[in-house]
Amino acid sequence: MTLINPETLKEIKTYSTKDFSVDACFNCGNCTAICPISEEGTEKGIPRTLIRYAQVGLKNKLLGNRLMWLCSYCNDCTETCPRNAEPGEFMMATRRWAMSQYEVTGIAKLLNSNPLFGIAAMGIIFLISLFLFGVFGNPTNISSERPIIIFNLVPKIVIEIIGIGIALILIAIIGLSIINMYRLISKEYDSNFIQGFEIARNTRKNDKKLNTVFHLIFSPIIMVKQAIAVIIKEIFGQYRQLQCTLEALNKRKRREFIIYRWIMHLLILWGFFGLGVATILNMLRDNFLGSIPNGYVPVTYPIRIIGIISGIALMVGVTLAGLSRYRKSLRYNEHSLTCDWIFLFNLFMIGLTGFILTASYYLTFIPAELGYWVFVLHMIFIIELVILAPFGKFAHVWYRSFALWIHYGMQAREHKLANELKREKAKIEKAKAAA
Amino acid sequence: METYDSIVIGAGIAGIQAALDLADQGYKILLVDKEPSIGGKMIQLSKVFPTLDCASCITTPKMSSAAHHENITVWTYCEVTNYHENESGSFQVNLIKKARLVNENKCIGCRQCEFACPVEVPSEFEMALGARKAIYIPFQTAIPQIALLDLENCIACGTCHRVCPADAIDYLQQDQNVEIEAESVILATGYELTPLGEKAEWGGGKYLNVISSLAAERLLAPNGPYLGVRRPSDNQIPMNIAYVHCAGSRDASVDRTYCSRICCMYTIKQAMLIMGSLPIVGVTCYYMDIRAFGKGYEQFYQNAKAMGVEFVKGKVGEIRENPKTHNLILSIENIGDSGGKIEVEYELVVLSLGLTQGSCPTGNFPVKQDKDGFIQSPKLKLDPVITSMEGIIAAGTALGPKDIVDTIVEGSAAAIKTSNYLKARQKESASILSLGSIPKIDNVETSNSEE
Repeated sequence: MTLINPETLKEIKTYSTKDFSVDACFNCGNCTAICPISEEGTEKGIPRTLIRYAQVGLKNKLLGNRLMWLCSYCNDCTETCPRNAEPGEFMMATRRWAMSQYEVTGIAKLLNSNPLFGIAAMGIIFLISLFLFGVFGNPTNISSERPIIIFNLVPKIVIEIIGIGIALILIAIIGLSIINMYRLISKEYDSNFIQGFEIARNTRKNDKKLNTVFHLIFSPIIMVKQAIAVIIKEIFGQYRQLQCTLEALNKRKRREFIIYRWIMHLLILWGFFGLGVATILNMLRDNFLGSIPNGYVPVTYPIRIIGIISGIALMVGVTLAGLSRYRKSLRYNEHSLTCDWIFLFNLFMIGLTGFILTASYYLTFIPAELGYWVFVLHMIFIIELVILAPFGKFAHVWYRSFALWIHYGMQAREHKLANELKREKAKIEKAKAAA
Repeated sequence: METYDSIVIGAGIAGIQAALDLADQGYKILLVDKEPSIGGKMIQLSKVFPTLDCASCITTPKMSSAAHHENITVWTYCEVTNYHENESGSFQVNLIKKARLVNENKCIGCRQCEFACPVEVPSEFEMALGARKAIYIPFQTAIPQIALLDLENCIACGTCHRVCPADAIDYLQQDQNVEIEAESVILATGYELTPLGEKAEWGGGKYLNVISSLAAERLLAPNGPYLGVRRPSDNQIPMNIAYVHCAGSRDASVDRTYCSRICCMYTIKQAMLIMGSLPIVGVTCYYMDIRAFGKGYEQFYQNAKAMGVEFVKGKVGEIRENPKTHNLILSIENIGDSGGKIEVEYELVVLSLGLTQGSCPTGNFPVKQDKDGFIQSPKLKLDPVITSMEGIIAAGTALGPKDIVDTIVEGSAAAIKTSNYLKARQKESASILSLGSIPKIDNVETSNSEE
């Protein structure tokens, strides 16, 4: 049974700063024809198919479409749309909307559609963190003596317990959201898949495997292979974004340097990843090799070097992203939501406080007290980032990756099945010929 | 100074119709056109919808009767530069007669100069698919049959001067400024096609085998440049042809949101003509909607479908060229069928271009224009040919996109409106003459308010 929700389009529109006129769309198909990720096949013509779903109110079909996560907003559709319907912005808003629908607590809904909620949440988290610091920390230990021993200020065990506690809650939320997303996608996919393979149904009626999408996803060899492909190609290479931007560049012959965006995104990603690696290595070293007295290491310490380089990459990337959002210089960031800004702001502040903290270790002219206070700020902004992660812009990391993973898996599976069918057909024909 | 009852600016089918209707009533008309021949765009067409009459067979008699009418004076290669209004309300119009470098009174139209001229350049009339000489008569049925010399491409070899039997070549001829007086003005300045290369994704003007619809008309015309439908890149018969509807109209991305009305119908007509002359060729039309708006048009569309023309809903997003074969690959969404994006290869692509304002739609008269450049009709519903200025009437595509039927109707409508206006003026001047002039009282209101 198909559920129709006439409010869908109105709802999606609240997830953009702009009242884009997607109602004007008369389904000419121009956006699909020019889209670099659109493919041949049933319901693979995006963005038009998705716009149609939204206009009609087919909420579940929309939520069950994995292809929207392939789009990296090159904006070719908007630029060539004969009706100024802004399909690009529609796709962006739909992704935000879908994220808040997948998310189980409902916080994402508030954060993405209400600009004040984000700011209020930031404030509340800040105050609570400060309160926790007052309860568990020892501000009296702040002194101008060197070396700076930050764990004198907040006991390490407190940081670790709070950190792990928050992480567990968030992982649970993310996990449930992802399961939600998977449930919706597989439901829609099941019907499409079967429609697309009528022959398969006729020739292999008794094969129950074919009718369950679980078999498809949990075909382990395929999925592991595809997971590796996604991680290498899509996450660390941002391959699809590069392809889209290159194609857009080639097609439109624009002066605008849109590869800039790809580099910017990679810098943030690699910077963030590098900092994560440095943190984890540090933890592992502390726990297995014994901690270094006072936590002081020289600048040339390998983990420290990884941290500094990653920090620089992150800061450069975030600054570039912030500037282009502020100037609206790139087509895709003309309409920034508050939660976009909150994400960038948190990253920027974490990077900045991290740098000041590192500098205060090694540069003696920086007062040691400043180092302590900056550390407090650093921790608070990390808490902000982590707590808002499952709900805000950060969430695209796993939703997009997961959708890509499913997409890759489905593609591989379809390919395999098509080959199987071909072989089977050939066999049957051979048998007929022999008879 | 010569005086006329009306000056008709633009000698396309609207202007010719208006001039003929007025001249038949006994008014003296001056018909001017900026091109070296009258006939406008219609004379370039192959056939017209929905009757499939031969365009030049039905235009040429009209052109000819306008040219030979005792009450019509035709000036070609001539533009209005400025005007001022007389006290009596008539228009004093300054025109520039551009130099043809050929003496109009001596030239007998024998085309000896054209045959002898060694310079070949792309022909405007053939939409650059064919060639013309540097000294030329614009096309076979041009009126007047007087040559003109294109100074930009002339190599000054003097051949034309040597071969001319009438000694008509005049290299020293200058542009000539003329002033005339006219009681009224009819603007029939027509349209231009939207630019071929406007949408960069379609590669119009870049790929040889992406041509405009008017070029396709020339390919289909019996007196066309290739004497048949051939594609420009290799002069071969294209085995499949795609039409891109709504190219340059109803498209906000090129800032032209209005419907050009005629493109659907001429596309259907061209597709039918291709199916008629080359039955093995496949013709596919990619459309957003088919707007068959006029009398007999829907039936025309159904006939085309029955003939085997394929109509596919879906706007063409992008056209790429195969550099080896010069075939074109179209990206479209397969809306009606299995769905998704597909790529289809064609040997020739015709962009069904829309209509936009002419190069000088108002003929340098300060009538109000719409946002899209066409002349404004203040009384659009009940008096569509009236403009914002008294004594100036407009007709045809200068007012907005329309087909030939409507253009001719408007030409006649403009004639009767002008005739009414002229009659009223005659009466008015007669009554003024009998009463004597009435003194003007201008400052009554202002003096009252001061007190």
